[in-house]
Amino acid sequence: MNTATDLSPSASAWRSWLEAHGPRLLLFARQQTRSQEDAQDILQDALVKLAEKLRTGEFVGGQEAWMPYLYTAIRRLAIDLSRRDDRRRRREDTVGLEADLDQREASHPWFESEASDDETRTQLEASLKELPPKFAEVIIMKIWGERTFAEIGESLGISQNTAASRYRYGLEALQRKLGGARRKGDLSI
Amino acid sequence: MNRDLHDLESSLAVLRPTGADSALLDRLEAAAEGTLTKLTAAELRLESTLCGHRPAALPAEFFASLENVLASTPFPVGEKIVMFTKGNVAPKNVRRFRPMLAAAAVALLGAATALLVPPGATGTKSGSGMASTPLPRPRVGAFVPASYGNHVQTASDEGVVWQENRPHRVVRVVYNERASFINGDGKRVEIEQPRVEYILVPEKID
Repeated sequence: MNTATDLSPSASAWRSWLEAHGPRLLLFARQQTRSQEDAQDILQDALVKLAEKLRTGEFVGGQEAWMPYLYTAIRRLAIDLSRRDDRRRRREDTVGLEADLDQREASHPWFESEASDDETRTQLEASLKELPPKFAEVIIMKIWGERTFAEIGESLGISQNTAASRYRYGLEALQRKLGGARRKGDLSI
Repeated sequence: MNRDLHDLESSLAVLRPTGADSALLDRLEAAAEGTLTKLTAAELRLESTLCGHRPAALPAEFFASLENVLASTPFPVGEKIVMFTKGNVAPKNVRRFRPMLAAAAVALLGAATALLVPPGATGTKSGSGMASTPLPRPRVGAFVPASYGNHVQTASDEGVVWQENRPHRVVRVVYNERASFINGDGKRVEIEQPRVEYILVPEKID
């Protein structure tokens, strides 16, 4: 990796930007896809699209419009990828591959882990994965993406009221799941 | 409509839709009032607890590959401020070595020295008669610098860079350097060379 002094002003700025926003975008991409590899692919593709638009001057809006654009692009790319995967799965026997995929995914946690709350992190991640995707995506965009309901609605093509309702239902469901884990004594949340 | 369909229609007509449950009524009411997007204290508490879990950082290799993807893309930081990439970054305003100018200067210095030294005084110390010594003519056939000048050909705005905590506008100036040399026969040789200089002008910040 280059040292900061070797970087051009733009490369240095991009690095800071990636450090700040990369993890939350990857988290969203993880929720939208089935594997870490797929999530990285679509995040990269979304960033390439953004960069291309910035280079050609086609991008409308300032830096504040990048994240909404990227969330929308990631979601669309994930839908396209999912359709291609469905077609492929229909053609191939993927039973062994699925098991292998689950095993590999366990080694790529969605959240930072500290030894003290590793159990909480594991439980939270499992609960999020069990939620209906339309609830989970709103929760991830709202909490870790720091988007407003209006922005979430725009990215997902729904009204802000629908986004808020999904968020609320999602939180309730998540609380029930985490509450169950807490009663069992394996969660500190 | 046949009899069977009539019977079906009658059976359906007696059915009554179930009423909306209280949760849905609350939701509709909140939507009508515009408060659906306002979270309760309990929801905010849970949200803040969840917020404490940070998304995992990008793996180092993946981070590096994204950096490569973005390396050639200028980074706009405002409507009029764009950070340049390495390829088009403006150099600092340091005057570069200009061989022709240096050559001309050396030649002029040499010629001036030759004018001040009386003929035949080479290697000897002489402190008198210098002012009245007739000016030596250049050797026949030898060229000496006669003039040097430069003028601006074009100046263009190359955008803005961020340096020393403030934006600077980059102005690209193309000069045309011209030097002429003359010999004892009165022959004149002129040489032209373009030179590019980048100048950083501090931008006004509101």
